[in-house]
Amino acid sequence: MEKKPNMSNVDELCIKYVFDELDPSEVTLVEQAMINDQNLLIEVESLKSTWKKLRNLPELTPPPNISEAIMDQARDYSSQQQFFGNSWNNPGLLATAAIVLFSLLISTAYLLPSDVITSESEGDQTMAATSAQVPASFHSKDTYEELFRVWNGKSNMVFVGNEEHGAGSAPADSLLKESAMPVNTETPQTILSPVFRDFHLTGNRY
Amino acid sequence: MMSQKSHKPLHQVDDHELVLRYRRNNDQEAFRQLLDRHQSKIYSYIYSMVGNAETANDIFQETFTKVITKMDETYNEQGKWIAWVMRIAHNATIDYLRKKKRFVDVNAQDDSDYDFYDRLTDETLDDAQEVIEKGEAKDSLMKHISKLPKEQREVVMLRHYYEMSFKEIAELTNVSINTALGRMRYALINLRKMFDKEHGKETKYVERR
Repeated sequence: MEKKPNMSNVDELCIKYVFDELDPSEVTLVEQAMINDQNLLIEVESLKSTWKKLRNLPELTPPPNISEAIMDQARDYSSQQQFFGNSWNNPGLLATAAIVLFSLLISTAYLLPSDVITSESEGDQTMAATSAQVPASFHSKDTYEELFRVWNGKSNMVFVGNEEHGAGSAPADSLLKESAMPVNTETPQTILSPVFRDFHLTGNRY
Repeated sequence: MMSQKSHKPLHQVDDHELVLRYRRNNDQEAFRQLLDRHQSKIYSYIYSMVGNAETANDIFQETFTKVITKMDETYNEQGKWIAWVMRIAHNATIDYLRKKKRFVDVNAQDDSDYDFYDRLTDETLDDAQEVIEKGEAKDSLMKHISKLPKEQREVVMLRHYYEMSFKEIAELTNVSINTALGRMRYALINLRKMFDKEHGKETKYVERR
């Protein structure tokens, strides 16, 4: 007995045949079926001719202003993406940004008056802090002058001490130990300060 | 190999390479080439689905807004660029038709028999047809297409303008391949009837069963 081909999904096979989406074995199957069924042949030919007519479907183009608007949008979006997306990966841009920032800081430092950078009030506060560490008995001017004399030595160094007992005398030592503030330069604690240095005498070991 | 490609005129460069140039080098001419190459098909598909020039313009622009802004996030370079764009255009079109359907068909009882073009006012259809007749369409093909049920129309258009396989159409429209094939079959049968009616022929469609 001859084996009958499986044409249970004949409608789908016909459409696939019209659109050339069948594999060779299926093509043979459909063509064989069309030979045996004239109505099927007529239907397939009808589908083919209808589809052929659709080839004349017009292709419409969008208005030129719409296309141009899309191009503008693409350009704008790319520019934004390129700037924000790639700026961290661009060494040149980063270097430029750093130079601009540095220049800005330097110019600000020069433009501001020095007393803004190291304010008088700040200096006063330092002195006040130093004074606060001096025992109350030495606060009068007379007492200071009695105990200390400031003179310029041969090596052009400033000495603070007692004429009779010298720089290492006990009263002076006890005072200076308590004051515990060596002579040094004070560097104002600000990032704008490197170009300005104020000298404050705040204490001495001698 | 790359240098050989880069010396090709843009119209000879394939979509994949054009997309790479646009994405990596911000090559606007590459993007323009992509737009020029595909805009007619995309626009025609949208137009044929909505039947209105103004709406087609809006959906077309909306499609490309998404293409431009979402390309980095959602386009996989392994796939066909045009298939990806087509999916966006198709979804935007279907979204519009659904919204329109809700708007027009507030009192619809049975959605299964619903056809968008049946519910449009005659004026809307006349306008769409008028544009077609006055414009580039030389025959009444679009008019017939516009009368097809939406599902049949989209299968015809996707196949015609994008040469999509039925597998691709099925995936795009979320139906089985057999459903897509069935829709195409009925679309062609319906169109055949319309052509025959137009030419005063009596439709003698063969019933096989």
